[in-house]
Amino acid sequence: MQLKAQNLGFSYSPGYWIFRHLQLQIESGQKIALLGPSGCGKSTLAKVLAQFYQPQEGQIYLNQNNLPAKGFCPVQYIGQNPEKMMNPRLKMAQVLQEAQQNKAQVWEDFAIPTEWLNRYPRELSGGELQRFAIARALAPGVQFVIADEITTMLDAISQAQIWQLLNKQIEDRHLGLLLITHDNNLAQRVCHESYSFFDLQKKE
Amino acid sequence: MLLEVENLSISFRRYENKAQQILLPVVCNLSFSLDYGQIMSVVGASGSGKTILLQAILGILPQEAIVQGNIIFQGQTLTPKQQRQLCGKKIAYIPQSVQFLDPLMRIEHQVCQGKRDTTNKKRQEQIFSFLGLPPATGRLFPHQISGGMARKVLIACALMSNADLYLVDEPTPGLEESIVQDFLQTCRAIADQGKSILLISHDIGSILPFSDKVAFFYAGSILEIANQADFTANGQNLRHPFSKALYQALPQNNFTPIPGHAPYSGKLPNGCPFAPRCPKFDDCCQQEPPFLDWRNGKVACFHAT
Repeated sequence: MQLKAQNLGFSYSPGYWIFRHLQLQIESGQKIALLGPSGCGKSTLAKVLAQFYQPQEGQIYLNQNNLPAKGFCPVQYIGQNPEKMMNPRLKMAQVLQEAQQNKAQVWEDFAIPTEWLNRYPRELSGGELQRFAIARALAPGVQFVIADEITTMLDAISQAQIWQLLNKQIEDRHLGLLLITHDNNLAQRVCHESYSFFDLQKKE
Repeated sequence: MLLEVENLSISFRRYENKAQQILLPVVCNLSFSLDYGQIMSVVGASGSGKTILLQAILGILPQEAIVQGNIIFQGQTLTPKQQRQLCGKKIAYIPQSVQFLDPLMRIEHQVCQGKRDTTNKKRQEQIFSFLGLPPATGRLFPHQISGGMARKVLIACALMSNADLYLVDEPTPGLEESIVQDFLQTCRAIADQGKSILLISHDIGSILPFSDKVAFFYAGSILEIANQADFTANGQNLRHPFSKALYQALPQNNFTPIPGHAPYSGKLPNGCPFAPRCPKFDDCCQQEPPFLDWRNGKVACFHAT
């Protein structure tokens, strides 16, 4: 499997390009870190790749095909604030059900105690919610995971716990990972390669 | 002493099971002091009550909170009225969430707190160029800038005031490393002028060279107050098992977590809050450990090393 972005360009208002002529290629099993200053467009790129936004220019290919326009997207985005990505009126079991992930095997894989399933998102802390966000994103059809600063607001122990779980899943299932972070130490620990956001746009 | 906190306890009133009132303790029996010119960092588990502590010092807790104990600022025990007067003038606060920015106000007006005279304008431009914000940012609204830039705006707001005590709540996430270093150097420069900073962060590696003391916070209690020198020898010089575990879990160290989760404030274990996850657990841990002086620092543990 290969995720390839060719000549990607995106702007929120016409004429003001967030990025343009952007090339990116991730293979299955590859873990890539993306570094860059705040406000340069890293998160926007992540959302374009995960089909939250449509690019104005260029194409995204998954194995030479376009990404599916309907249904589950094989490129999944995990954000920095899990509490903002969940419906506050759903219990955690229903949150997992959104991706048909409410199974005993999933609870075990992500170290989720069953008593958490009856809680609402506001009754769990950030690190615990992030486990649910990851469990929901890693549904069976997923091929590539985009982790946008998923552990920056967590303490070191929760961060290490989350990465242990996520790393095991990525390696067992041979997924691709694009990690967006500011933490060089974390990028070196988790990823094979790291790129600067501006390097992706240089080659035209 | 600039700030002294004595036996501070904070609990929240909650209703459970048919309007039965319960008290949820969030911060339990906390004591520490902060001298002029010091930076004290507070590190610890997410959701352990660090932000609540800062809000208690500022007096901006939600109404259902019950506060016991004393907060002494510059020799005066603070009353709610004094806290309202000091807040934003002598005590500045950099909040964690960028939602604290007013969505309907241009950034330059927020930073200058509505008063854009020549001195304020000049100072704002200096702070913007120092933080690396383009001057045009001032004309924008908060939703038009990215997360990292919004955080810089929050820092700019606090730097505009001329406070004696800065309460900084996780300033670093979303900022590139060079800006983090610059910001911490500013903190150090502010502290060297005789002002004090209470800094909450998860990024122990970055804040360590700039802090005088580091407090380890877990489930509403301070378990250890360490000095900079204790972080040598791969964290083995720290006193409490939790501090060692936290230091070992950093990406630049071993990146190995300990199992288990932090307890909920409604279901705290008896005695030491860290006991259920502690490798050195034994029977005496079911009593509350006293917070004692230990090798130039302080620790609350029966098995401190």
